[in-house]
Amino acid sequence: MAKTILVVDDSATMLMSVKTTLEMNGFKAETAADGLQALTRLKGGLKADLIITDVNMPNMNGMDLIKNVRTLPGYRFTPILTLTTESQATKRDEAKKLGATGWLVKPVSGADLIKVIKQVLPGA
Amino acid sequence: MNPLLTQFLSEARDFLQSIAEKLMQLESAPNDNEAMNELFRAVHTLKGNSGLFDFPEMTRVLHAGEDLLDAVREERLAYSRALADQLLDAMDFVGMLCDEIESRGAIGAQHASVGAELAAALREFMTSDSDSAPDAAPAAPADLARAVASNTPDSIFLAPPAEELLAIPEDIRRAAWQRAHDGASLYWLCYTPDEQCFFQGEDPFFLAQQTPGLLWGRITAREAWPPLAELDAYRCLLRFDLLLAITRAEIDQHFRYVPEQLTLTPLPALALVLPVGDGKDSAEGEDFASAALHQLETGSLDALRHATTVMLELASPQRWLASALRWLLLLLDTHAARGAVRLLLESIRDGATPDWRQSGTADAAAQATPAPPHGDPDTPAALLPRANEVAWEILAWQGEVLAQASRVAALPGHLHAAATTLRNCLRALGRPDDTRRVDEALNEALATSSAAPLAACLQRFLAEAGATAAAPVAATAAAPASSPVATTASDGEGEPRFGRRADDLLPGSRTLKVDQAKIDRLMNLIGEMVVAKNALPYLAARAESGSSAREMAREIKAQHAVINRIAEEMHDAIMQVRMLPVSFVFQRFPRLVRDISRKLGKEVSLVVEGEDTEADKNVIEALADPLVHIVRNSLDHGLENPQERIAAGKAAAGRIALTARQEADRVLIEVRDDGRGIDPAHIRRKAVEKGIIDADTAHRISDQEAINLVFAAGFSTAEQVSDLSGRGVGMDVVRDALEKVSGTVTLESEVGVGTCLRLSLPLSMAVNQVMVIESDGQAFGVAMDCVVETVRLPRSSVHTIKDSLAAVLRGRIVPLRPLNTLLGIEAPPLCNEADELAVLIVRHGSDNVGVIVDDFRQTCDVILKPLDGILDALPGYSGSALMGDGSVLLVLNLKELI
Amino acid sequence: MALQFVDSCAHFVDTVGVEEAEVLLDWLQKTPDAVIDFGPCTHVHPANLQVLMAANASVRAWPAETRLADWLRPLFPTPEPTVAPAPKRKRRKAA
Repeated sequence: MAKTILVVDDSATMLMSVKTTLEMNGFKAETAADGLQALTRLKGGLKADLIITDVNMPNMNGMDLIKNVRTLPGYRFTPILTLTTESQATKRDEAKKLGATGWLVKPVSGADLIKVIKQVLPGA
Repeated sequence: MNPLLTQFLSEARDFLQSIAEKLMQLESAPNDNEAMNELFRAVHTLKGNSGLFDFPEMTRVLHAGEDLLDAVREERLAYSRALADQLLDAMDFVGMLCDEIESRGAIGAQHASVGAELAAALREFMTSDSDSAPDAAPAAPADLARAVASNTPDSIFLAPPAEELLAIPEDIRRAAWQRAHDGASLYWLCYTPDEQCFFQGEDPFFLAQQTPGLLWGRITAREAWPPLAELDAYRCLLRFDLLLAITRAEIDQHFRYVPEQLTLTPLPALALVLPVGDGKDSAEGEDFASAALHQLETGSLDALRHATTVMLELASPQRWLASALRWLLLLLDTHAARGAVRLLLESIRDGATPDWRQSGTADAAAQATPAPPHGDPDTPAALLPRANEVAWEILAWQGEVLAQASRVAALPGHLHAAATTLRNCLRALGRPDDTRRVDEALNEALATSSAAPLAACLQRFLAEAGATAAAPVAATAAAPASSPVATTASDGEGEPRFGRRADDLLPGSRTLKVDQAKIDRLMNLIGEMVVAKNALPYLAARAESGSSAREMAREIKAQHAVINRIAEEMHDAIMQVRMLPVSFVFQRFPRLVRDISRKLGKEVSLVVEGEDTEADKNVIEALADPLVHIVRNSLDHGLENPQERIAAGKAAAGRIALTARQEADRVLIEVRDDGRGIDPAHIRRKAVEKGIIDADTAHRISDQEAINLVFAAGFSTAEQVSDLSGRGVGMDVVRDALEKVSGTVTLESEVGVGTCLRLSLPLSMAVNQVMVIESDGQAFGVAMDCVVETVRLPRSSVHTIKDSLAAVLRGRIVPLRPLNTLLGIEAPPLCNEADELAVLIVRHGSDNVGVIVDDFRQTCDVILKPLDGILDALPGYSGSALMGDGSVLLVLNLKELI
Repeated sequence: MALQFVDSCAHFVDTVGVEEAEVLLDWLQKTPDAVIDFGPCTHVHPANLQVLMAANASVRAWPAETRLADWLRPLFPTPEPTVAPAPKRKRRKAA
């Protein structure tokens, strides 16, 4: 079964880019424009095998999203990757402490994206 | 353009707009953290997005901007006007790049240096201003693993003890040796995942298994397992030991999320040379080794090898000696250092595990790094000369056309058309001889009723040209970056360098942002339409079954009423979709006013109201240019400089208010300033000087009429054409532009108090009500909003005054113009049986004019399509419309014709 | 279901995820004579592995996937081959 990946970013361009890559590689991609939207979707029953989230977003940023996701039933162990830029090294560590699995550095090439996903998502 | 790029550009424009807004907002409220964060996020996101594409100039500038804002956000740097200026400049540059990408599909190379300059200018702020100069990006590059060893020879034998390595099966160790001999580096990696790692979504086993260059691995428990009842399944107590043949960089890359959980030891290949098996201490081993050591000393390596092979055949494979001999053979085969061979032989002789720690033997093989061959990745396709680009693009498109042309009934027509295009393109490309090949391919295609031969022929041309067959897009993208296109970024000193974005161009308006609710409504209507449509087959069945014509007519009418209602609602819904807020145009003004007022040395505060007022997209777009012109006029001529204002008892800062509101079916825009106002006397004098009116008239007209003269063609109040508002155009251009969309402009002014311009525009333009008239056997449309009435005048009541026709209608003289004459048709107007002429009374300026036509027909609603291409230049027509019977109606622009 | 219990045998199928570890731990505590069938298994989350290791579970069939089998073999004792390991080979599901 195709793995479902939830992508959270306030940039429609970034969402489109990631979503396209994911879908081209046989993943099912769901999107949300900010942390709050993502959380609402997850609470609403969306089952994601992996969450990829931007850090700096309106309404609810990536950090708060990670914190909240980890409290959701069924999301204790779900891999979470943050989308950061090369200058956000501290954010990455902070996110890891909050329960993120790793990070992607923007701009993410399609090949890198898939490589990292395959690395954190067994069975992908 | 691919959808992602389109999305990027559209979003980029939104970001640029919001960046500019926030920058200006921060000028007045530098401590607004919310705005600061939003500003940072916009620049940050935009930079991230630009990185998705190969736009290094853009990314570089945005990156510098991001760093700068980050410093401001963290209060390492103070926000200043100069900083805002620099950022605005940079964003204009980015906007200009967006335009260029949109129009050319790529960024010209000439922008690289400008980009670098801008980035440097932004970075300047950080170096010059930040006292502490904290490192902007503490880019702790994935803290390299706690490597036990560097590459110093001393550390070589910090390798894991032999007992650990003996866990690795001999064949794997031998394979590893071989890899090291081939140039790979060997590492022994202990990966001890964090106890809580499962709660971070980690799967250390999976990570370990995926390690590149993995030769062998094992899982061990870190501590003794507690009874099951006390076991915490989710506290990770595993450790992974891995034998890797890979570069250090690749290990760091693979484990970059968990570098602190690694203990990495470079592994000299010799450390793996550990014989295993029973009977370590054997007499035959000792004898063999003694002889072999002698052979080694005398350099008889061939003899040594031969002896080893023979001995190996004799030894039982499970025995320690056999294992040692296999290693010996491998060492000899891989030309290991003599010292290593000696040490191994000595250990065979002594029946002891070789202790490589004592050996000073540098293991060259383990250190060597193979140099992968570096091929040139690709040979760039020959760049096409600019001049031919279009032709090639057309050719490439023909490929698409042909690909779609298969199995179409009209195939021969398609083929002929494509072939003609090909021939023309080839001629244009200076290859007329090749048209023969096209003809041959065409004939074959026609004979076989297939587009394939022609398509193949086309592909050959494209291939010959070095253009990829794939896409016309590629052809555009391949446009030589260095083509001598005039540098748009050339700087006029003092001018906002990329200021054209702020005042000349409407931000990309190809994309319409629509409220979800509006789409939903449309969707519902489509649903209703489908239901209504489904009633028609039922009606047909009734007709077939012989219902009476009368009954049928009634039912069809009923159904028509349903569909009519839906169509009307759909129309309304789609009109709603087209509605844009005036903020679309207004949003540029804060920047415009800021830049221009600063340049003029004036202080101006801009007040914007009613920006949510909506109107049709076309109306809003038509509003943009006139409004810019008006605001510039106010800034340039209307508002005084601070000294003058203070002298006149006004506040130093001038005020421009831009308001919008809806009134019935029109949107009203007001631009009001509190400047010096327009002096009617001055206007009178000017108008006379310019010969627009004579002195008598100048005396006679009221002040208001005098002021209105600024709308007269050729009138410009400024003493000299200003480089700001004057581009050789006056208010007449504003008036004309508005009239084109059925808008009006009025002006009020009071000397010393200020000036107010009021624009009034229709809310919507997409559907027009037209009256269909007939002249010389042809039907034309006339926009209803300019038709006052239709009358039939007895021919006898038409008088000829001088050369023109006129008639008296309700006590007023109305000039008459035969439409045939206006259109240059020879035929005279026709009368009806009662010898009456059909006259359409239309509004023309403030007067009425009668247009003599042959006959009136019905009025109807049409969607007016502007004329395209060459026809666009015909002034007498406002567009065409498709009629219910499929015919095309030309709609006249009577204002232009009369 | 990636983890199936049939009598005293736990069948590991395809990818066995982290959430199963608690279930497995409970089952092992209730099943003293537990044996494990890894036959159609392609990946086991290590939380499960450590539960199995702590229980010193017996394996009656190693994964058909040889690389996974190589990792697992050293971890567990193998019972006497009373049961012929003939697991139904499910095809690995493509992701």
